[in-house]
Amino acid sequence: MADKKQEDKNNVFKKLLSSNLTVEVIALVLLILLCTLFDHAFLALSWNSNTGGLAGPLITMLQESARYLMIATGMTLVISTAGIDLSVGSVMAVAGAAAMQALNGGMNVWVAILLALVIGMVVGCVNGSLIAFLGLQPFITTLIMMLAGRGLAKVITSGENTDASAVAGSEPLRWMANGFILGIPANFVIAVIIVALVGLLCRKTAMGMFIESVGINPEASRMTGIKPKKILFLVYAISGLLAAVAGLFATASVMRVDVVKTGQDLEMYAILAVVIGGTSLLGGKFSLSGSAVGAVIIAMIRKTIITLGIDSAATPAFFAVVVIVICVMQAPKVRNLSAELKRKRALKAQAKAVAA
Amino acid sequence: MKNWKKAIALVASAAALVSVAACGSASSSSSGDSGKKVVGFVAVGPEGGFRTANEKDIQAAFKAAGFDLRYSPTQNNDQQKQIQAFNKFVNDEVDAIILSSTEDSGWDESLKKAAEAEIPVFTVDRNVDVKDADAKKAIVSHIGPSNEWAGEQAAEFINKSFPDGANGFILEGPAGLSVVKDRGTGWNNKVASNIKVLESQSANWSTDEAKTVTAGLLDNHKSENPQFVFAQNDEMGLGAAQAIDAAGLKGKVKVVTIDGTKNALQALVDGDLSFVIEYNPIFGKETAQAVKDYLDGKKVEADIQIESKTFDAASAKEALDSGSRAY
Repeated sequence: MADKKQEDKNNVFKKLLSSNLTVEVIALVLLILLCTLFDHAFLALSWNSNTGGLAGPLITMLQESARYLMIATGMTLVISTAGIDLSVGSVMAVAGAAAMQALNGGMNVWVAILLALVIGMVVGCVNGSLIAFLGLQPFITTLIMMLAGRGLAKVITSGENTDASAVAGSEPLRWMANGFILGIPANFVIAVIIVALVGLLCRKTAMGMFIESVGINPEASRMTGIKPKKILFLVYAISGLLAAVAGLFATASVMRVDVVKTGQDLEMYAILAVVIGGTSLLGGKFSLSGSAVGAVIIAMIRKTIITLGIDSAATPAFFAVVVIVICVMQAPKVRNLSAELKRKRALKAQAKAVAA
Repeated sequence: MKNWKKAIALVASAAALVSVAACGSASSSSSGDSGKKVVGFVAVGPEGGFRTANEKDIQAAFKAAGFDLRYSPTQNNDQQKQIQAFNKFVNDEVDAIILSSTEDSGWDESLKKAAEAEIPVFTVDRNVDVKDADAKKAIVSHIGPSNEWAGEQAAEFINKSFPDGANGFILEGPAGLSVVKDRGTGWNNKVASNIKVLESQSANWSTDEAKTVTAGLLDNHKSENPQFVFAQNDEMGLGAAQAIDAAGLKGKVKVVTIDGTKNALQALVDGDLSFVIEYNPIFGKETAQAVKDYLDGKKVEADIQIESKTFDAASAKEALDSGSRAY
């Protein structure tokens, strides 16, 4: 009985060790420790009566992670169908530009938010229909959308960086990015709720399984009665919608869209978050929680760069090194290293015993 | 298999579309070729209020001066595209080239070709760093406001505001740009020894990134009582101001920015910023004049500096009220 319990415990421990999520959490904790070493007040939280929420390095990190959470979630679904969505960064700019321009044009703030979300989803739907119904390559289609999206954002604002900070009545949007719910950044709470909803949709219904099966073998999934085209269309539409939410977070934080910079390179961050989260780029099984922690890690790496005061010329290199280290930590070979060593030792001992 | 064909077809049609568009713009400008001098403009393209105002002004001024200006913007600061456009202008044997480069290095080869073809090159706004002597010959003149001067003004304002010394931060543009270097050099030239820069970080010219970076810096150096932020452009300054406001430090931390866009002047009036140094984008007329003089065989100065202003809250309000600001 006791033995069995012990064994169970061991199993749980082993499972935890071998899980991707554990490695990710360890990486996150290591980064936080590194920052705390450099700046002893890194973990300190204080109450900021000015904003009505907690303040501190971790809080600003969570605030920034919200947008990564959004695009990484959409990207997870897309990647799990063996596709890729390179247009998320541009969709962020388009959605942000639409919202800011609408606000400047005197539109109601809720209408502006809705407009941005609809535009994001429409771009996603265009991606989806080109890929699902015309059978275009996801890489090419979304690459074109990435270029076209930037252009579209520039057209919407006529090349300017539209500023809506002075527009009255824009408080709800501003709150979405800068406000607090019970002291926690509102955008982080909203992002977590959306991730949870997507998770429920995928795991409590058969949606997740459908997506994975399409990623593994679309033909076989079609024969079992799943409609791969509809699933493909859906994941790109969701990705577009979530990118629009990310775009709102990014622009509402300063109430200003920067047509060139908003969302720039973020598609890469999203892909990194997904890969760190343990979803294979070849499609198939996906882990939303893994991607979510991956998104927080991305935000944490960026925070680390600021905290450590890394020279601005060296930041891309630092970013890359950290990502590589995390990927190495996750490689099955490295993860099974201790088990491998044990096995080898046992073999040696056995050989010795036989020789004796 | 089917997918591939479709993908290729799509790429091909997209490429065709782009080339048709390119031909369209090129032919439309050369069609009015009745002895007009052709000038190629290797530009940056829409990037922000400053750039838009600058390039529109140059285009308008050359048109007014009777030139046939061929405008070729790049995208997302891609230098490769600029080099391609430059080489194309050299091959087309235009009469002169105006270069507003995204990066200061890497122009030697193209400039050498221009020198060989005896095409005069005028650099505007951003200077280029040329090592090759042959390549240097191609450049007739640099026209633009001085970035060093702007950096010096920022340092002098901070010196004057804090005669007893202060701590603060610098928000830089992306590493490697000549603007970033020059504005930094100007600051270093004039800044007083009791003004301490706690940290310099890049925020990539972006408002949103500047807000995150500034929030992080304020957290990190809370104990050192930061009192100023020198943002190398308006966009970053506006982001920094928002982070300062969120931290409850509005009015306690002075923000100095360079560029002088309408938004920044408005923020100056509202008290979010403390000092704005203009980086005057309106010098199309001077550029057109220089090109014209050179082509007419007159001597042109090697460095034509455009005058800029500095603004505090009062003069910003005046400038905004007069409604004369184009950007």
